[in-house]
Amino acid sequence: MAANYIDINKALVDRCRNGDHRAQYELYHLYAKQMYNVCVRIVNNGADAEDILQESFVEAFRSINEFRGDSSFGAWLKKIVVNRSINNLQKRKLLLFEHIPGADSLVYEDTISSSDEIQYEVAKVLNALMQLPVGYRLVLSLYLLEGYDHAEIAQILNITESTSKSQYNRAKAKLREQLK
Amino acid sequence: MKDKLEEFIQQHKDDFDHHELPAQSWASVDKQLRAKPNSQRKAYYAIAASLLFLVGSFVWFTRHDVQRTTQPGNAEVTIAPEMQEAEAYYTSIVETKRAELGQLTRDYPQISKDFDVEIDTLHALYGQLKMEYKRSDGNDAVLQAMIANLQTQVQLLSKELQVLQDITQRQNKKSNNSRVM
Repeated sequence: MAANYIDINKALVDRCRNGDHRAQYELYHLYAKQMYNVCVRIVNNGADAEDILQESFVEAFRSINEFRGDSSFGAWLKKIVVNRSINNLQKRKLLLFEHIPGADSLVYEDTISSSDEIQYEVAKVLNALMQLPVGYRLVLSLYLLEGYDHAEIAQILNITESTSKSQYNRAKAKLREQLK
Repeated sequence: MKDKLEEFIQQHKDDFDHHELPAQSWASVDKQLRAKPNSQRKAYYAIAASLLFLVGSFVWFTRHDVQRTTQPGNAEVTIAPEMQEAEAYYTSIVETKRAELGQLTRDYPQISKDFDVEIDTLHALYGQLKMEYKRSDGNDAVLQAMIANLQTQVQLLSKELQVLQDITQRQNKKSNNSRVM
């Protein structure tokens, strides 16, 4: 991202650098709910998500001097949250990608004609998303909701970019199928 | 190739954050922030445990063993070269570790200072053991304690190296990650 990124929370972040507890609380207040939801979508477990959320904020505030401001504070924090959540899945040995031989070269065409008619609802989509196999759920939510591109997702999940793309397409097809 | 489903999810991103945050979360974060970082605490425990062991064994050796073997003899003359060898050996390891630590200690002066204090204490104890060794005419138990002391110095330096490298690695990883964003 651009080096001259201007963070709207710069003043708060600067106060945190000086160990200002009030500023820490304000940043926490601004981001906690969003980050908690990021956690829940990855680990699919409320109690674990709460632990990870707390650890992430502690880590972020302790190492706030590592934050150089080349992204927004939110993006930097989210990266910590996402990494910790992925680690949690790995520890629980839940991070599996279904490898179908030759699947990477398959193109999943969107069946726009039929899906165009469907009226989506957030609750239903989210519910269907959480029912997806873990690999699908991760790639789909990292891409569509957390805003990472496939190169970034590949790095986060330690997979190739083409795996990320193919998982994404399959995930979308599966999600669409479940929403019918 | 945007489709309707993608579009829908991206447009309603914020609505997907529907889980409410558990109430007591901030209190726990705040509490942890006011406590000492875990890795430093672990290092302190390691230092404390090894010091306790050494001081304990020093006291034990001087009170029990030395009394038993204070007959005059020429043991020192025959054992001394071995001890000199051991001393030279461990001192060279200590020097190597210190060289490896080099820049790291300058980056984390506080942690290094804590380690330095403990290693200096060990060093002072070593001096006392050496005198005791001479006085006891080469008592084997004291010799063992001297070697244990040197080994602990090496262990402490290794631990320091490990702790500092861990911290640096974590920070590098983090700054790499944040750069990707």
